[in-house]
Amino acid sequence: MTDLTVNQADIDATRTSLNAAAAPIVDVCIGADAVGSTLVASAISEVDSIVRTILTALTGAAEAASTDVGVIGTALDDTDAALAGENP
Amino acid sequence: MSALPGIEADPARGDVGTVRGLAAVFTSRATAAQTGRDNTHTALTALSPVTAQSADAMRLRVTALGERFGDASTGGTDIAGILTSYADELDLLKTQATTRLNQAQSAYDTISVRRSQALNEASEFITGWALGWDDVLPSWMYMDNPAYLTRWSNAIDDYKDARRLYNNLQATRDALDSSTATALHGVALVDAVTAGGTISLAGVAASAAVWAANLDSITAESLAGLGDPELVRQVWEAMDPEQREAMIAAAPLVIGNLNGIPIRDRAAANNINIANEMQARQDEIDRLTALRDDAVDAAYHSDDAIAQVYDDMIAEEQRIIDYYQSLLDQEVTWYDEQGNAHTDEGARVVVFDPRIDAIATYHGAIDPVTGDIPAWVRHVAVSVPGTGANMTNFSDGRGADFYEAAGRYSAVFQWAGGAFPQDIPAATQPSYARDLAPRLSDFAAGIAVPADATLTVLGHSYGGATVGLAEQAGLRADRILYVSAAGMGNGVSGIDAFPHTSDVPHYSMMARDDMVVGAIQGEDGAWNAIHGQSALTADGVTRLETGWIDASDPHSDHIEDYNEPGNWMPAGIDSHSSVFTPGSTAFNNMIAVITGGDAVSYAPDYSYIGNRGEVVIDGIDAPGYDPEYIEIE
Repeated sequence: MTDLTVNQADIDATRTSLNAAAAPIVDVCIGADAVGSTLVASAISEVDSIVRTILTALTGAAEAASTDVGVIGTALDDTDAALAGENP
Repeated sequence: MSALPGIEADPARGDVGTVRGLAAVFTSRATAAQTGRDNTHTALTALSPVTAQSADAMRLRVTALGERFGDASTGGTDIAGILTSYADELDLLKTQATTRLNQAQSAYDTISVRRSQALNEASEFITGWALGWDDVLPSWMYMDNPAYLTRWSNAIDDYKDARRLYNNLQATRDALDSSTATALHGVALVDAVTAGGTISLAGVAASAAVWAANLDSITAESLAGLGDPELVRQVWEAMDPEQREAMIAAAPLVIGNLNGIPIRDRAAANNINIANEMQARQDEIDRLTALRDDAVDAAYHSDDAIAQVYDDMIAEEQRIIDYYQSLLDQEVTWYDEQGNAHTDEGARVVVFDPRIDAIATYHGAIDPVTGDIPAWVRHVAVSVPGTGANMTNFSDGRGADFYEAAGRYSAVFQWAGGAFPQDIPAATQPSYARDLAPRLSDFAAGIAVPADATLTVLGHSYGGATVGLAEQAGLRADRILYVSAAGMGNGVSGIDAFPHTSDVPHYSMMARDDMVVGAIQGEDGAWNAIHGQSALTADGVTRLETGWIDASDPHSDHIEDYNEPGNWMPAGIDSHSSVFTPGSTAFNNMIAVITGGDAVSYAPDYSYIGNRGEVVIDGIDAPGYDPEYIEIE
């Protein structure tokens, strides 16, 4: 089994990058009325809404991952803790 | 321009600038998502030193997240591309609409001219008021030259044609709008999150959240996109066996050739690749057979000559199939830590990519848990062949010989990871080595060398020049050995040119009478040194002895004098490759370099004054010659 190695600096660096990934991406909702086609304008509005939702979900997932990486540094899960006990 | 009768709405209505602006918004989002992907990659690298089960799970999660950011970036780029195309088409439509409208206006203006020409002022006063723009006086009422009436009528028809052409653009616009809307809805990103349009906008938020956190999103391509073999290995290890098997089955060509994937899994993937390639070759045989039969049927004469052309091609395809089958059937012997011999069926093919003529095999034990080189292995080597190497002839047996001689604590890769020159004229060109070098460097970087083991990289002939250029490209290794090398690489003046190996021990050897590469040994820049500095004389490179064909028998032939039975080549040609004869001094020295043993150093020429002046003889023939052993560092 792999030895347990948890360095706080590595954890912090990981979190820094994940926090950067969690920075909001989405800009304003865009208007498409001037494109001259209600069909295309409707499609653009639809994909705009979906993409904004996706980007929000991604930054949220990055934020959650950052939080959970922090947990590795502070409270190892049971298995790791047991391993740490075996390898003082 | 006044409104023209029967002209419909502007088919090019809409602001192209707005559409381009919208495209720019999606491009910006794509760039931002790509930055998010880069950040997850950086996070993965930062997490790399952390070893804990929870960290393994996190690695998977972060990798999947990076994949999703990448998907989002691709989706944004796709949408931007669709909108840009839409704007381009709209621009084109505007130009066409303007042109056609002008043509219609001109045609309409012509109607007035023709009408005026046909009607004098009196007629216009009397009857003109009752005529519409598209009416013409009946001929029975017209007393003047009827040609005026015809031109007038024609002008009306011309206008109607021009108007029709303009109005027809609306159909073009409708088609453009429809295809654009369809394309936007069909973007893979949108399709994935809406499950092909079955999820409504109201449900997209939940769907996107699930999609963003879905660990199953890791694909072979995203794994390869990590770039760093260590990251690839960590993520691969964090995946469960079912995920790995599925990925191997889905993308064997990626996994089988991806540095960082353990040997066992690369080999499993490449077994699929080999089978696929054999099937492709069989299909080609079937095609050629049908062509041959048709050609023979259609021929009036020379049936045999025509058939022979196809039969030769079929035989070549069959030869390749047979070789690949031999790899699958190959019995591989390996030794466990206790020295017990085991035999497995099937070569461990760790590179197999017919697209780039790449192949490599592994000879040694495989750790049952990691699927990679066992931790107890102490000596790892990568052997690079030379001119003439290809996917069915890459000196695989040499790798087996090395492993057998170096012993159970060794592990050997025989590597031909791309196109090699197939003849001497081609071998004068450094281009092959330049292409191979970074691949060799990357391959070596992907080897999971155990913590207490050394990595030796050796190259034969053209492979020696390849190793030198790989060093120049950043190869990392503990020892380097150039065997009958064409040089240290075109443009390489010495080991100082190597960023990561200038301080590691370098060795070389070549038979004294090597007729294949002997003539191109020289200082870098010399007219004959077409593959750079000779490894025999380079500073910091220790030349080793090639000695006897049987190292245990000083009465056996020198490598220089040994004639390979049956090939009818002079010894000077044979000696280029007979250095690899197991049990020879040369071969034993190679093993010493790989295992860190004692090697026999090169015995310089010995001279003495004879009856007819100075006589120069091989150092190993000198009176009282006693091999000088050096300890391999």
